[in-house]
Amino acid sequence: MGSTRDTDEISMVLGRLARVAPGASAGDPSGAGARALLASITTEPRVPVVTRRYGPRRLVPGLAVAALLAVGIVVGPGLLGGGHGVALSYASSEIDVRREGDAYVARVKDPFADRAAYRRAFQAVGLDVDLRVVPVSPSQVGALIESGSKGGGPGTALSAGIEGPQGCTVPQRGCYLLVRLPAKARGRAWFTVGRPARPGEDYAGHNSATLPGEALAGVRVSGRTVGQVMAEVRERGLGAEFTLVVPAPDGGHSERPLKAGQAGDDWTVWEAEGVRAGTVRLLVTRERLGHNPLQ
Amino acid sequence: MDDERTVRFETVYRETYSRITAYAVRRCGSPQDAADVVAETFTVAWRRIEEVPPGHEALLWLYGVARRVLANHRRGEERRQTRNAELDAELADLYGTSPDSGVELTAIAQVFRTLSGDDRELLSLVAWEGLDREEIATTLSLSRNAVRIRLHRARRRFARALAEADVRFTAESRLVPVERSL
Repeated sequence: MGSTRDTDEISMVLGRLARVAPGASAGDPSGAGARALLASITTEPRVPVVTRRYGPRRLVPGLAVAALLAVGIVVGPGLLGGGHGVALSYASSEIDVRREGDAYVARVKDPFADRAAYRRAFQAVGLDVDLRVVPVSPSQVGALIESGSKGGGPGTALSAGIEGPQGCTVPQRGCYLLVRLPAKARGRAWFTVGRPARPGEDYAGHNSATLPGEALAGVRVSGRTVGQVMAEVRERGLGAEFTLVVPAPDGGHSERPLKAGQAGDDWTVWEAEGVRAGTVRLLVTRERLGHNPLQ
Repeated sequence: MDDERTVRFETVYRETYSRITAYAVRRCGSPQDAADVVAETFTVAWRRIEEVPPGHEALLWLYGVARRVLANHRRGEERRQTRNAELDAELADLYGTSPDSGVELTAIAQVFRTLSGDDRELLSLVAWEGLDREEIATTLSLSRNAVRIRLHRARRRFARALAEADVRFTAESRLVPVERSL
């Protein structure tokens, strides 16, 4: 190594590893998320709402709604539907929103658009709705991934799906992501809906890769060895990443990424998740446990 | 009294939120984990607002809390206090680019991960949070002298590990990164 490295040099090199540059701050305390957190902390001082960090499936569509409603996040002033000067429909190249009976129906024509464009559409019809469209694995396209509301918002009455000819692919012409919410909803709502991932784009969230339509559809992975599952993975021309599952004494668990080659062929696989097109993540333990630590 | 408490907490929150968020984002593998650490850290601060020191020391106190929260989180002991889709999404924006891309930086990152948690935290507090020895001493509840010695050893261990891994810096690695737009 020659001479001792200059200490500043070490800091500089380390600095380049930082996700947020040294000295820089991240996040705006006046942003919606930060204000929501502040409100949830100061309004519920002694009764923390405990939800499982890692459930069997973290992104079961719709499941997050209950948790959010329980927390009671307060964000900004509520806007009213049916107020003055409110349109009944709105159309842009990104999204259409229109009243159909007792519901507003939004058709996302461009799932890759900036979310401000969606927001404007909802605002035009008097709804304070923040729609996020995130990349997901094939079976989750059109699924309502996460949602929440405040002040009598649409909450659990939200639904999402795909509209178009049978088996059509978003964003083909005539094939839309569709979101339906009750017209009389008040307050604020936000929700996340899945769209197809671009090539190489990581999926948001973790979804089993063994579900119909996914990379390892129909393959049994839980309780099998890494060697056995990798044979299935290779047969399908897929790549694999590995995550170590560390069971906690109270029944939960934590997860740690493993480097390639760290997981032995005799380790046990408990779940396979889609990471991005062509790549799955195997959740493994070194020992063969008597039960699935993810459940 | 409750009002006073709330006002005090809100002031601390406003003044430290960005720094604590940066701290969590630099150390957590996912925006959800970072959001957890931020939420839990401030929840602790709210419960113990009477103990939070005034001025700049509040930030150092919070770094100390965040460090413990993070350690618990890594042991899988923390449960989500809140599920805040807004916060998750805001933090997700910070994960858009991977910091340790590039062969050389990846190698440095790998070597860094081989250090003990204590060594990594000391070096990170200097390199990432820009704390000086006195501030680190306050954050970690150590004497200044202990910080000086430990920091010296941590740097030496890191330098040795880099040399053993045959990782060399090029001129480019010496460049201080420009601040990313957030």
